[in-house]
Parts: sequence; structure tokens; C-alpha cells
Amino acid sequence: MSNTNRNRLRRAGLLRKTDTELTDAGYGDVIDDLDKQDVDVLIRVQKELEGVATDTVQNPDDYLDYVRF
Amino acid sequence: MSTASARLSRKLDLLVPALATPGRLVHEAPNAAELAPRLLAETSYLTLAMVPLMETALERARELAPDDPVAAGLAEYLERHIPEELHGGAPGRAALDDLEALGIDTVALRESSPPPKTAAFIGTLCFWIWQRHPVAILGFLALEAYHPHEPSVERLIETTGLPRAGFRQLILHARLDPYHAQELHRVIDTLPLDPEHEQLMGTVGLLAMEALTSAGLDAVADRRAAALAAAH
Repeated sequence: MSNTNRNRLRRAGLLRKTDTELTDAGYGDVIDDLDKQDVDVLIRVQKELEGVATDTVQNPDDYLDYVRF
Repeated sequence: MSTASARLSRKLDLLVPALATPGRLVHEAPNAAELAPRLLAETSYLTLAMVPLMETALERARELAPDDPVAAGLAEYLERHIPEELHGGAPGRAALDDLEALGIDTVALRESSPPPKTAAFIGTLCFWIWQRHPVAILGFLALEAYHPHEPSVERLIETTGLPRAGFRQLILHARLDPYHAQELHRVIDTLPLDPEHEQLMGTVGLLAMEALTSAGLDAVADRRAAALAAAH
């Protein structure tokens, strides 16, 4: 199993779960099977949300924690 | 063993909270009555493109069908589903009627350029339908599983005081899309898909969600920030 996708998503601040938590939640295989292009999409959306949340809400983490996994 | 539709849903689930964020920003904004029509207008380009994109996929699927069982099954499904999405009228007419009820100039809207990521998504999907496989359209249609919820739409009508006539399509889709999604998942699970088909559908679904999220954020973020600044 390659951890490339998990590592990229963790570095982007999008993936917070440990490997065990990810497996227990049933998303381990989903993450590992993502195409590089799919991971790019997830990270782009996360970055856009970070920018908007910082500018438009009083507690950005309330919004960002909701989209992290 | 999981099904193709379940694998697709699990992948798209990763972006559902992001997709819901523009709506959440509207619901929680002091100027929700100003933001809601903007959000619906900016995200309407994809709604308006849905039937033409399905027709493109149907045309390509019919060409491939004699030698391609996935294309043959897809063509059968699209021949049934396109009339369902027309709701008895011209493509997109009902959505435009709702926007007009909310005060949107739909002539100007139709003459304007869609948001960049929306335009990029539509172009990419058209290209992939022709160059890769028309089954790509099912990744876009899979968003029907993430339909609006009727109680949320009712709450939005109540808090904004906007006319109910502006939300007829949202309410209709809140009621119909669970059945459309169920039928779509049944079709996906009966097609003889290979891993490349599934990968294509998943990427298309994620790109559609990115386009909708980006358009929604563009529509509401700045005006919401201005309203919050004025309130403080």
C-alpha cells in the first residue's frame, strides 16, 4: 500500500485521522485508490475554503473542521 | 464486496461537506436574502448544462453501442432520463423561471460567462465524453444523490422572505432526486464497468463538486464578509 495520497492530504491539512481511524471509518481504501488528479481536486477545494473562511467567518476552524476528514 | 455505485459514493462523500459550505454561509449570513439569489444564479450554469451534456453523451453512446455494452446500457438509461430532467419543458426553462421570480435578469445571465471552474468542467466533460468514454456523464449525474433537503429549503424561504416561486425547482429536486439517484445507482451497478470507467466517473464527480463549490463561494463570500463587517 502506498501512502502517497494520505501523505499529500495530511500535508495539506485536509486529512486529520490516523491510519487506524481512517480504516475504522471505512475510508482507508477510498483514499488509497484516489487518482493523483482526484487528490489535486480535494486539495484545491480545501485551499479555496481556507481562503474564504479566513475572510468571511469569525471562527474559520468551525468551517474547516467540518470539511476535514 | 462493494458495488461500483457504493465505491463512487464513498469517493464523492469526501467533498460533500465542502459542497455544502456555500449554502451554510448563506443560511448563517445576516444578508441571506441578498446572497441566496446570487448563489442560485452562479450555480445555475451547471444545471442549465445538464441536459445538453446528457444529449452529448447519448449521441456518443449510440455511436459506440454496437461494440460496447457499457455504452449500450448508458444509451438506454439516458433515453429514459433526459425526458425526466426536462420536466415537460425546454431545457433549463423551469430553473430560469425560478431565478426570474427571485429578481435575477436571466437574459443577462445567459449572455454572461459562467464561472471559470464551471466553464472548465463543462469543457473537460465534453472532451472526455468524446475522447475517453460517455460513461463520464454518470459521474456528473451522481451529484443527484446530494440533493437539497426540503426542510432546509423551507427554512431558507422563511428566513429570507423571498418568494416561494423562486424555489420551486429546489423543492422539486428535493423530492425527486432521491429516486433519480436510486435509479442511477441501479444502472451503474448493472453496467459491465471496468476500473478505468469507475476512475473516470469518480474524477468527473469530484470536478463537478469543485466547480459548484467554487461558484458558490464566489457568489457569496465577498458580500457576506461586507455584511458582517457592517454589522460590527
